[in-house]
Amino acid sequence: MTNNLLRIKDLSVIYKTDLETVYAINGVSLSLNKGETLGLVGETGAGKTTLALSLLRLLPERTSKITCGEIMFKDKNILEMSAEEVRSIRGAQIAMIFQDPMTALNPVLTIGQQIGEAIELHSEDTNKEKIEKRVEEVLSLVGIEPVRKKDYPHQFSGGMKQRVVIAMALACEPDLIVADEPTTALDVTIQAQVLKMMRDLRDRLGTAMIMITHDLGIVAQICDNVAVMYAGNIVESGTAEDIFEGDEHHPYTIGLFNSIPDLENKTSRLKPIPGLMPDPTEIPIGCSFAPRCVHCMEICKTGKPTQYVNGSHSIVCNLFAEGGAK
Amino acid sequence: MYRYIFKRLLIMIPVLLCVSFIVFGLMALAPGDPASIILGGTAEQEQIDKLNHEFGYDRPFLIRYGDFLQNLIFNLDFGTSYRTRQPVIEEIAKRTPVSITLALCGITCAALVGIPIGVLSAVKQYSLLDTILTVSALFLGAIPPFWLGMLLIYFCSYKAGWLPSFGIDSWINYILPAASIGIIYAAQQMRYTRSSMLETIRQDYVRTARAKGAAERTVIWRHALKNALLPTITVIGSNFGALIGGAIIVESLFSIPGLGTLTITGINNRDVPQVVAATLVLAIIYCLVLLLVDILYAAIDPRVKAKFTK
Amino acid sequence: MDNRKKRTGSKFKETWRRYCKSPAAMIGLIIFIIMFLVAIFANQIVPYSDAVTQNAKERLMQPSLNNWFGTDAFGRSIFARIVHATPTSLFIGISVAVISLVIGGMIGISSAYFGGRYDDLMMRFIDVLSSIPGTLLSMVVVAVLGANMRNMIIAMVIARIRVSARVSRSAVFGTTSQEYIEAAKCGGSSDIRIMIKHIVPNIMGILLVDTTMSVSTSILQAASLSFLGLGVQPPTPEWGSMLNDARIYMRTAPHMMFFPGFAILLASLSISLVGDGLRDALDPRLKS
Repeated sequence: MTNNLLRIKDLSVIYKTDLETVYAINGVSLSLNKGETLGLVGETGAGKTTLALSLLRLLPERTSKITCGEIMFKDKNILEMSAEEVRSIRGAQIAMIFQDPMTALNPVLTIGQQIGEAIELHSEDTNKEKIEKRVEEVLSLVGIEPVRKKDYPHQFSGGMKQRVVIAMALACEPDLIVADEPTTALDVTIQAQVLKMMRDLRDRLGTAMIMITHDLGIVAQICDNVAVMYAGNIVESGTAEDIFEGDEHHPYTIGLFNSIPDLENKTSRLKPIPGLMPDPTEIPIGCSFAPRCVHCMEICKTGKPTQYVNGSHSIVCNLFAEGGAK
Repeated sequence: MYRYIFKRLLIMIPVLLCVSFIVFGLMALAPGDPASIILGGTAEQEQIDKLNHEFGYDRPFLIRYGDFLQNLIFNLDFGTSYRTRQPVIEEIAKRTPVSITLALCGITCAALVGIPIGVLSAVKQYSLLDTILTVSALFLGAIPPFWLGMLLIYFCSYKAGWLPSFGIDSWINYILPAASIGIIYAAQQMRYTRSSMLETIRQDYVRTARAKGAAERTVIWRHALKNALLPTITVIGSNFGALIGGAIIVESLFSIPGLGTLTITGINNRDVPQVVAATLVLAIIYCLVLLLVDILYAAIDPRVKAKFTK
Repeated sequence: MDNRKKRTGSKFKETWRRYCKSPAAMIGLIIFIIMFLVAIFANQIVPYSDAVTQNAKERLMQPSLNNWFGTDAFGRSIFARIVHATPTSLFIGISVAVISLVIGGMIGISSAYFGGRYDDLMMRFIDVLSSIPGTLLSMVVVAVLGANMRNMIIAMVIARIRVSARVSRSAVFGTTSQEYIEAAKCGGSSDIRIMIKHIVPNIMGILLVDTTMSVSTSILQAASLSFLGLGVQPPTPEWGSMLNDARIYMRTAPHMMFFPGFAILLASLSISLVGDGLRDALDPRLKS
C-alpha cells in the first residue's frame, strides 16, 4: 500500500455546446500523497475548478466530456467506477469545499440537518443519537457552538457559513479535501481565521488537501507542494521551497510573482502580465503562454514545450530544455 | 405567527369595505333601475316609481350605502334582493358552498396533478417524455375554459353519456365543470413548477448535496423540491383570481347555481344587493386563499418565517 | 479571434438570434404573423357581407366545399365570420394591453420612484382593486357602461391596470442598481425626465414581455365577456359570441363550436409563445 493517495494522469476535459467547444483541461498530470497539501494556482479560467469537479465526477453531464486520462484514487480509477461507487466516495473519502459559502447551503434545511445528512449517507449505523453527537463534535471543531445546529443558514454570517461548509466536509473524516478558493468570497480578516482553522484541522486530522487559489500568499501559508496552472495545462510544479525559493521558474510563474504589489519597494506602476489568456475554444499549436512570454522563441510557437525535471521541481518550458537558451 | 395572521385578517376589513364601496358605487352608476326591469317596459311610470321607492332606490347614493353598511355590520344582513324580495343572505348561503367546492376542485387538481408532473418533466429534461408533457401543457394551459367545457359536454355527455352536464344533483355533476377549470389550471401549474424546478436544480446547494454523495433521488426530493415549491405556491395564489373568473363562466355554462351565476343575473337585473353581496363573498374567498398561500409559504421557508415570528 | 467577433453585434440582433433558437417561439411568431395578415386582409380573403348576411336556406350546414367551416344558425358562413372576427380580437387584445401598459406603467413607475406615502397610497388602491377577481370587475364595469366593444375595452383596461402597475413597480425595484436613479437625480434632471429617459429603457424588457402576455390574456378575456353577452354585440362577429351562439346547437350542429374555440386557442397560444420566447431571449442566462 503506497503512500500515494491521488494520481491524475493526462486528464483532458472539454465543454461542448451548440456554438463551440471549450478545451478546459489539456493533458494535466498531478500526484498527491497522504497527508500532503497541494496548492493549485492559476488565474480565473485556467481550469482549476474544472479539475476539482472532475475528481468527483461532478461535471455537468450534458455539456462536458472527459476525453482522456485517468484519475487514480487509492489505486482505483475514479473515471471507471460505477455511479454507486463514486457516490460512496463523495463526502466520505473525498470531500469538496466550494467557493461561495452564501449559496452552498440549502436555505430551507437547518445546518444540523445538512451536516447530519453527510454523516448519514456514509455510515451503516443510523443511530440518531450518534449522528447528533457527531454533528455537535464537528461543529465545535470548526468553532461553532453546538446548540446552533438548529439554526438555518441565513442566520449565519459569510465566514460562519464557510465554517459550516468545512464542518460538512470534515464530518466523515475524508482522506482528501478539495477546497476551491474557500476564502475568496470572505473579508481578509475572516480569511485569515478560516485559513488558520483549516491548517490546524489538517495538522490534527492528517487530511490531504488540494487548495485551489489564485492567491500566492495562501499557498505560502498552507501548502507543501504547488502546481501552477495556465490555460488548461500545468506549467510548473514542485514543493513550496522549489516554487518560492528556487532559482528557475516558468515565465508565467515569474509574472505571477511580479504582479504582487510589493509593500517594501516603491514603484510607480504595477507590473501585470501583458496580454490575455488564449481563447479556450482553440488549442494553440505551440506553447499556450507563447503570445505573452518575453522569452518566447521560434521553437515555442511550433510545438508543445518539453518538460524539464529537477528533482521534485518540474517546469514545462523550452527555456530549460537541452540546448535551450539557459 | 398568529399575530401575523391576525394582522392580515384585520387588514382585510378596510379592503373589503372599499371593495363594497366600489361595487356599490359602480352599480349605482349603471343605467336602469330595478323596478323598470322587474315590471317590464309596459309598466306605468307611477308603478315603477312606487316600486323603486319601496326598494329605497330613489334615495341618495351615500344614504343607501350608509344603510347598507349599517345593516351589514350590525345585523349581518346583506339586504333584500330586489328581485326575489328575500334576504340575500339566504341565496348566498346556499350558493357559496357550491362555488367553494368548484374552486377547491380546481386548486386541488392544479396542485395534485400539475405539480408532480412539473417535477417529473423537469427531472427528465430533454427526454421525449418532457417534450410531450411540455407541449401538452402548453396547449391545455391556453384553452379557454368555456370552450373546454363545451367540448367536454359534447364528448362526455352527449356522445358518450357518461357524465351529466348541468345542475348539481350529486357529486358526479361536479366532475365536468371541475375538469374544465382544473385541467387548464393544472397545465399552467405544471409549467411554473417545471421552470422553478429547473432553476432550483442549477443552484449551488444542489451541487453541494451531490458532492456529499447523496443519491439523485434524495437531491431532487429533499433539496430541490422544497425550494422549488416556494415560487410555485405563490403562483397558485396569484392565479386564483383567474381561476375564479373561469369558474364564473363555467358555472354559467353548466347551469350551476353558484355565486358566479348569482352575480351575472344580479348584474343583468340591476339587483344591487345581490351583486354587492356576491362580489363581497367572492372577494373574501379570494383574500382568504391569498392569506392561506402566504401562510403556507412562511411555513416552508424559514427565512420568511423568521420575519413574522420576531 | 473569429469566435469573439461572432459574439458581438447590436443588442437587438443578439436578442433576435437567441429568440430564433427556440422552435416554440418561432412557431408562435409565424402563427401570429399569419393571424395578423388575416386581420389586415380580412376583406380581401372573404367579403364582410358573407359574415353578416343571413341566409335562412343555408342554416346549420356542415362544413363543405362551399362553406369551409359550415354555416351558423342564421345561415352565415362560419369561415367568413371567423376571418372577420380576427381583426376585432387582435385589436381588442392589443389596445387593452397597450393602454393598460401606459396607465399602469405610469402608476407603477411613479410609485416606485417617489416612494413614501404616495407609494403606499397607490399600492393600497391597487390592492383593493386586486381583491376583486378580474373577470368580475370587468363584468360589473361593462354592466355600468353598457355592453359594447368600446366599453368592454375600458372595463378590461381597468382590470388589467392592477397587473401592469405591480409589474412595472417591481421591475423598477428589480433593476440591478437603483443607484442610477440617484445619480440622475444628482445630475439635476427633472423627475419626469428621469423616469422617461432612464427608468423606462432599463425595464423595457420586462414590460415588453408582460405586455405581450397581456395581449394573449386579453384576447381570452374578451372572448369570455362576449361569451356572456357582455362584449361585442351582434351582428359583429367575435369568437366568444360565436361560441355562445353555438351553445344551443351543441347537439345538432357541433361544428359551430369547434372553429371559434380553436381560433381563440390559436391566437392566445401563439402570442403567449412569443411572450415566452421574448422572455428567454432577453434573459441571457444559459439554459443547460
